[in-house]
Amino acid sequence: MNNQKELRELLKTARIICSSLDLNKTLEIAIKSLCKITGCQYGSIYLIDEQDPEFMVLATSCNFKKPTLRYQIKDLYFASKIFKTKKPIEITNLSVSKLRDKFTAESKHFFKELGINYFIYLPIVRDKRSIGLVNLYRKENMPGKKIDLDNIMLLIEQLAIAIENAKTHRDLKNEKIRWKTLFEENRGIAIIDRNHKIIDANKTFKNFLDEKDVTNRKIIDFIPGDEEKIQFTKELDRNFSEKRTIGFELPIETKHSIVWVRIRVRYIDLDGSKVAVLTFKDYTEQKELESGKNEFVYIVSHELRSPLTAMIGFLGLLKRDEIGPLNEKQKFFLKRASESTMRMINLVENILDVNRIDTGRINLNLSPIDLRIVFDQVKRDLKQSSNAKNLEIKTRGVKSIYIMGDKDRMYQIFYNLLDNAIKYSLPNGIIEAEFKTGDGKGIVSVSDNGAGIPPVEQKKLFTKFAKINSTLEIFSSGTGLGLYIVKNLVLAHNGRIWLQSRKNKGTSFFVEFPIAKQLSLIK
Amino acid sequence: MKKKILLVEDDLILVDLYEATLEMEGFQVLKATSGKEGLKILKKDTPDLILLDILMPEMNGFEFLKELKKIKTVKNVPVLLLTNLGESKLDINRELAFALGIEGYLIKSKNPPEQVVSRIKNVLETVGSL
Repeated sequence: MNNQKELRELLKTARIICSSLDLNKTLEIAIKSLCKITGCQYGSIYLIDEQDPEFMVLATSCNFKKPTLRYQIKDLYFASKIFKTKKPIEITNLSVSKLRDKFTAESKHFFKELGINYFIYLPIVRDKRSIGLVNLYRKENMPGKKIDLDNIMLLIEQLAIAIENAKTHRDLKNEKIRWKTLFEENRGIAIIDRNHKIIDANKTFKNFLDEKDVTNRKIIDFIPGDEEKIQFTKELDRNFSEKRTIGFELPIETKHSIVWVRIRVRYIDLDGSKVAVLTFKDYTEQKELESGKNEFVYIVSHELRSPLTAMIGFLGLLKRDEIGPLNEKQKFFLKRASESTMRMINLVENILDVNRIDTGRINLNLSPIDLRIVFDQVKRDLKQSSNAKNLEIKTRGVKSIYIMGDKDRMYQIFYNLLDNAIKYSLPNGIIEAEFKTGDGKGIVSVSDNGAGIPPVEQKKLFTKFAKINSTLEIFSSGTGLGLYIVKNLVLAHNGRIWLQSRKNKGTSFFVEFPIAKQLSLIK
Repeated sequence: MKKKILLVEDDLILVDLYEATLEMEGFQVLKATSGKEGLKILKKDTPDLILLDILMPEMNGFEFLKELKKIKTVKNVPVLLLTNLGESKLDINRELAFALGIEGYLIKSKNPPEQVVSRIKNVLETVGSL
């Protein structure tokens, strides 16, 4: 081929392979063209196996009847050399070449059979990495015909790019198939853009809403109620700017009904755009179960209150002198019966509190209260228990901390904390309550000298039914609801609660509240 | 003279409890286990104070209160609400109760009978001094 024709063939081939994303087509055209340009009758292209880079796999061939499909690269002298040096190897006059011995017996046989006398191996390099090689074999030596290696390498460069593009395209297609499968799984998924418009949604989601097509609709359209719309928009926008994963429950209005869903929002920063992926899980069944459960708990606890009131009332009347004198044993039995009943009443009240927390019905009667005064009352009321263990309760710090709070609920908080401190203290010790202020907040800490709470237990502390396995087994009574209630009451006051505890060094509970502003209204 | 308390409460056990407690404290107790029964008693008798339960079948405490205020002889008798409902807004309509004219309310499970008695004594003293 003369120079001009060669260049034109090169250009034509380059154009074709660069415009194709079909790997097979690209390779076929490339090898045919390379054979034509170089005057070689046989050619093949091997690519390094992506899964197993020690091997190379046949990608295409020209005129071979049964080419070898796969080689281990280290077994081949020339392939190994080429991949390492990234330079082509040309052997003219194979029959007398010293390099002839580097071939495998199989190859030598093959060359003899076909009458191969010239071959050239060309590396396919991309980003300084070898990704494959091209083999071209010619039957007769053509003296005077020099193959322009530079031109050929230019084409191979294009081929390398084309191979990579085709691979990327193929990988993308596979990814899409994988993704589509995941996408159509059981949860409803909707993808929205920054303007809350639905870009894509899966079948489950569309079925939820009983809509055939939801693309380009605003997700807000499916949220009933103005309050919910506002809440949802706020949450979504916050997510877009904060990149967190958030979850919440919301009612969704479908064509025929209202469905409760649990939504998780994940934010994705794509190259060039930001989207949020919303996963919807049908929550209606759980919601109904939950409200059924909540209703049940409420009704039962309520029903328990009246007979318990009657019990404690009549037991109290029995103790009165007007009814008649009691012997020591009767007084003792009566005392135990009353204590027992009081425990039941406290349990029922705790259950009702948990029920109120779970259904969002905690209502605070706010007024300015002095935390120190509330604590002192609790201390007085728990005098008997602390005396029984010979515990001294020391208070120190600022003389008063005023916050806007519910007096009864604050009493409940401190009562729980101090009661626990007494329960888990070793006898003859000191319980310290410290009152601090700073940064517009008031902090109260209650510290005991007990066995401490292991970190694993600490995590469960504020959940329902948490109990600590203490060596003081006698004090493992109690429902484990106390701290759950306390935590929620503290949160309801816009406060925080946390603890510090070390093995055998004791435990400190901290509660923090915002200090009441406008103190001039007090006193 | 013994002070008369009208007790309107549908739970029979609690009726026994409050009756026993109040009688021990020297009060005379008129009992009604429904709003209707209570109104019947009020036609013949005028108590010094009414202890009124809220949750009752057929006529609840609020409805009874409304009817009470229509009867000239008894519309100014002080009323203390007795309830087991919680204090949260959804449970007891405090505003409505006060608007209808009650002296206060007591929560059965939180205020044992002795406390109910002291409250009654307080109210009667205040009313008596007017």
